[in-house]
Amino acid sequence: MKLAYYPGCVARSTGREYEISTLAVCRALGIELAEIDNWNCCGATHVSNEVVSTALAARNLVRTDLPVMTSCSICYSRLRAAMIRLKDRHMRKRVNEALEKKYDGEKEVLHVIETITRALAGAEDQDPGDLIVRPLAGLKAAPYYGCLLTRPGGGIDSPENPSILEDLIRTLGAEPTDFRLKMKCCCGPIFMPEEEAAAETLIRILRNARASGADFVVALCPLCHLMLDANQPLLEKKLGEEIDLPILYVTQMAGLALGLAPEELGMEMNSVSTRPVLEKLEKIEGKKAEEEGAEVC
Amino acid sequence: MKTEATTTAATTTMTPEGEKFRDRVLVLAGAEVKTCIQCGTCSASCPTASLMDVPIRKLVKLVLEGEKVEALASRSIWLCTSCLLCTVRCPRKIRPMAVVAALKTIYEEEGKRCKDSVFEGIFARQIRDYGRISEFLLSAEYMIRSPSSAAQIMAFGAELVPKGKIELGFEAARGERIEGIEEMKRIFELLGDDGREEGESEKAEETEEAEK
Amino acid sequence: MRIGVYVCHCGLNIAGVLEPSALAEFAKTLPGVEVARDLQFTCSDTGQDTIKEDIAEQKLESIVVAACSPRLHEPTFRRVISEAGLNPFMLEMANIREQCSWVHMDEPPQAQEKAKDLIRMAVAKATLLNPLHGETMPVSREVLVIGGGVAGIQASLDLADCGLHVHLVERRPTIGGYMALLTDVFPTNDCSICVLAPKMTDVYNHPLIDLVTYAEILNIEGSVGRFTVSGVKKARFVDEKLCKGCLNECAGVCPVEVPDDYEFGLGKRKAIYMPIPQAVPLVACIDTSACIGCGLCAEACPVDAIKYDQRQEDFRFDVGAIIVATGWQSFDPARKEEYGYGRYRDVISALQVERLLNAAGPTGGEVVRPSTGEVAKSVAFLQCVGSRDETVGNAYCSRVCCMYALKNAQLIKEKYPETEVSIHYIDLRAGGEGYEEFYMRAQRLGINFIRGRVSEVEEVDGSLRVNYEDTLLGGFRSRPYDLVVLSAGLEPNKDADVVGNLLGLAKRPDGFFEIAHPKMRPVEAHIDGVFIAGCASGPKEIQVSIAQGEAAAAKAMRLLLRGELALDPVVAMVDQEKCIGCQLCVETCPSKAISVDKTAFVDEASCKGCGTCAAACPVDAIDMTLFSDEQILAQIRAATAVKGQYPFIVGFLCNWCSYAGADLAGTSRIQYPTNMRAIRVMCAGRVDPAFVLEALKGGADGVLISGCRLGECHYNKGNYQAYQRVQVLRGVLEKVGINPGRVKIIWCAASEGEILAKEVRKFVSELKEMGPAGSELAALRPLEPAGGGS
Repeated sequence: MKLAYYPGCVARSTGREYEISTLAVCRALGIELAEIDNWNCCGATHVSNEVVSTALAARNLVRTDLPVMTSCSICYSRLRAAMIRLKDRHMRKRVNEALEKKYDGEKEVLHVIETITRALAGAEDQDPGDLIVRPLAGLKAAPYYGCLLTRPGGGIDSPENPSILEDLIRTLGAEPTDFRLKMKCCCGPIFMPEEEAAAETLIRILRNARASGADFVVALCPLCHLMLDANQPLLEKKLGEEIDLPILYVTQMAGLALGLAPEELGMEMNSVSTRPVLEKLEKIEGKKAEEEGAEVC
Repeated sequence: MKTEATTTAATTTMTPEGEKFRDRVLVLAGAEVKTCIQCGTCSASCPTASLMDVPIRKLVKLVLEGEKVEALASRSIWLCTSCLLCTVRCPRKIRPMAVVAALKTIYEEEGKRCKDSVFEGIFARQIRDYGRISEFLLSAEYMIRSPSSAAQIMAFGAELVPKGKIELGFEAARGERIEGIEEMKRIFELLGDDGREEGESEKAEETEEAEK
Repeated sequence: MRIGVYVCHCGLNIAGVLEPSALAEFAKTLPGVEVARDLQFTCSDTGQDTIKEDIAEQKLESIVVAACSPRLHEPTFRRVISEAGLNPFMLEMANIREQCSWVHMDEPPQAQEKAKDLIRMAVAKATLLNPLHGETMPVSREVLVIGGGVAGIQASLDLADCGLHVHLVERRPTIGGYMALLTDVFPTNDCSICVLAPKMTDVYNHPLIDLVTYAEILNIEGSVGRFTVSGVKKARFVDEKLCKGCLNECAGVCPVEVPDDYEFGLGKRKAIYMPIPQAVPLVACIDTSACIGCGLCAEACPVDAIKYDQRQEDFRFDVGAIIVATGWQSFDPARKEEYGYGRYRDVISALQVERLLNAAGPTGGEVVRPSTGEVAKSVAFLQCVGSRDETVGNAYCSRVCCMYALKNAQLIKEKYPETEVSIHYIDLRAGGEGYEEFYMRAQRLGINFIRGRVSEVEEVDGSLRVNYEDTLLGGFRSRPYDLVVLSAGLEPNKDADVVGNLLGLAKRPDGFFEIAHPKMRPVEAHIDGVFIAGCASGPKEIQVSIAQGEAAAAKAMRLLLRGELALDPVVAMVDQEKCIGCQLCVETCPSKAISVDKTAFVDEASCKGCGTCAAACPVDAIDMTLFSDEQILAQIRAATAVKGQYPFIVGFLCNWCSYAGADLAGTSRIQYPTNMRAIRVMCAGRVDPAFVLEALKGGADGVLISGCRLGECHYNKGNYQAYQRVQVLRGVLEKVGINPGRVKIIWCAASEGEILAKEVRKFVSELKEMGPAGSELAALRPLEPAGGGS
């Protein structure tokens, strides 16, 4: 399978480990990625003029004929929202006034979780075991969707109560926790100017994830990750409260199960140490091997 | 003889400016905003609702009544995280988030400034000038324009720089420039002023008709 | 053809502007005219007698009356000439009052010229008239009622009481519909089943009602007066004649328990079951999807009524009319995922709370939390779940939810005064007799009314939380409740689609069956002989459903009681030689009157005479008995024979709206230019592109077609078809170099005389700008009839 790859700006800065793990996982799943030539920022949530933001997204879509994959939920939502707006013929006409290559119709846009889920499902009738060489049995993961993966509606999963991440966690051998705030917005887009407001929500999300009994949180969006991971020590300092909850990208979690080494997944780049997760996994594996060894004897 | 009204209330009519403001929002956010039934689903779904001075529902009403000053003065428009939950749930298929975005656009056009609008401005200019966002440049410029943010940004930087996620220096930032920046400029300059001209409200009506 | 022409003075109404005697003299010069007279008041006894005498003495064969609108006196003169021995259809009227003298009061000379043209056109048509005979057809005096809810029950009883034989077909094992499952009903809070059960029993005992339950209709053929209905009665594996309805014996021993669909999943029933205690017929039924075939029930039955070898039975009967009372189904509240129905046990639907409140329900009338079985101490009603909600595709208000929530809130508050009861609403709609008073009663009982649509329901530490903005006070709030009731809206019954398709019923955008006119014909379908009652045509309260059942029954009686049907002789007819069986007319016909078996066949009983098919036929194989191609073409040629005016317009006005609108312009004395010569057609959809081309070929500068406003066509969609044809035609004209603006289509309601006048004024000035017909072709080759046919 060959897909066009739209990294998004964050992949080249605060979300480097997301890009590293995305590329590694796709390689492991046999998915060929062709980076969109000369792509531009999707505008994220900061370009309030809708014609402009739609044009920004459209400029990327017209640069390839392949289905487009991105790892960033914001980019993903922006590309999808733009396609919905571009169904309106006035909008299409307006946007095309500024574009060199003209937008002429919808494209399949995929989030990396969709790509992984499909690849694993496709492999199932062969032998799933071939791919998931290191099941994450014993680990508990809090599935954090954030807001934009399923919005606007009509996409990958229900915008109210999605299950694609829980399903993937189970497929990889781990156990999803009952994480009530899994859809709560991380408030990342307003973090810079409105830190106080964002912090209040972030701490609730982290406490809830911790209380759900998770060993780690799975993130699908580099902004969510930034808010929960790099920001975590600052929140701890601010509140005088220890949280210490590793935040893994979905691709890092999947990569581990696919047998990739932590270094291949950029796991040393996470702010909150991912060691406890790896150690727990090793311990469980060790115990299991011991038991199996005992049985053999 | 001059007749006296029995009411002591001030006479309420929409000012021409109020009307212009309303029509501009309708162009930017969609004519369907007129069909709002003030049910409050948007405000009740908003993740930052409890921090807002004016609920999103009321913002929509202010827009429809042409209450420009009150609408643009609200802190609520800067507390929107663009999470789209209001838009997913609106029973009239209005996009309240687009109303907020329209208010931000008009706020900036009016030459008003606050720390939030400064951040948005920097963000948009970077895309226009470079095609992509460099977090280093973004933070640096924001720190210069909004000095009170310095402590927060430095603390964050302290987390990210050692991990190699933010590279320092302008050279690093330059690496993310895309080719054909004229197209980006054109997108911003050509498309940025939709509905500002008079008579654009008719266009909104037209679109509405066409959709029907 | 020997023709007599009578020009009326109408006092000074006509003679004040026109010169009737000169018009009569003019008429005498026209071919075929034997007699032409001007009369003071043609409709008076003297006038009528003159016509009768002339017919007798001069052996006249066809009559033209140039007077007022045919919409006023056509019936009068048809009667007059038939009294004189002529066929009533040998009459044509020239409308020189409403559409001439009254609207051109300031331009007598031009009006006089127009009146001459109108008389020439009428004579041209009169020459081609044929005698038509309105036939009668015997009809079956039996009626099919589909659906045994309260609307169908009421319709059946009324029909049968009037002596008509009724076949009441119900899909489920018992009649009674949703009403049989409700607890008390608003606005009087009387017990639902107590008022319904006697009617159910009456249905069962009525000698003229054949009740067929647990049945499906599989086919309906034929048309008004003679439908043939067939279907199957499913096997319930219990002999209806033997079963005594005791139930205890068989269900008591049945080992299989399944969720009870009559309790909406709250209770359980056995594989052999009685749907409700008051079931009609009172016969048990075996659910084959649950039955394990152990045979215990058969052993237990004291009358050996259990028949495992029972087969489904086919039925077939003929009826003259059909009443569709297929009802509604509940919106599935699980579709609003944010409300947690199906995820949180204490979130229930409105129908479930009806069962909880019902003394015969699963809890004996106790309103308990399903999760604990304890009485709920606080209850919230969430309004507009699946109504007024475009995210689920239901833009409409379900009309009854405010009232049933008020009712259930009252019942809870009365039974448990300590329980806190809130209604979360967007707008409270209590329009109906006694409804606002009912709302006040709820307020007095201490029920909380909170304005603000709930955004989500969550479960926090075992208790439900309802999140909302109080839109009156402002502010985001979260309120805990023991029990949350979702006021789910009413949706069209999906199971009714089969019947809808068989009958060819139209659906509104909301999915309910469309009635013939949204205001004036509330229980009639577009199809003759088919009536719609109750929620099949949209959500409505019990009282309205009953009224509609009664109305539909009255309509069916009106149709069938005489035992025969008078057929309108103005219908379409097919030239079997020319027909190529392309089916285009079948798709075009709004009355489903045409069928094709190699060639097309028009069912004259169903045809309403709009003529849309005649305009659509690609090989001109369809024509009308009146308003025929030949007659209309003759009128067009007569209109364009002289062209005494510039610009010269030929108009086509639909009988129901635009022609009436033009008449209204006359009675309102709204003045407009004299340039148009109008031809009356039954529907704008009748206008064949060939007519337009004929007018242009004859030298008309413009052609105006006017139909009912979109959505208001007397024949449902004829005006849309006219619009499409005009669009295509304009494209063709443009290609051959004719300004497409010469052909114009407008919409004008019967109440819009001003609009018609305005459009004529506008068109005249537009045509002046374009220049005379053919001016744009000056440099081009001469006009050829583009394609000729439609």
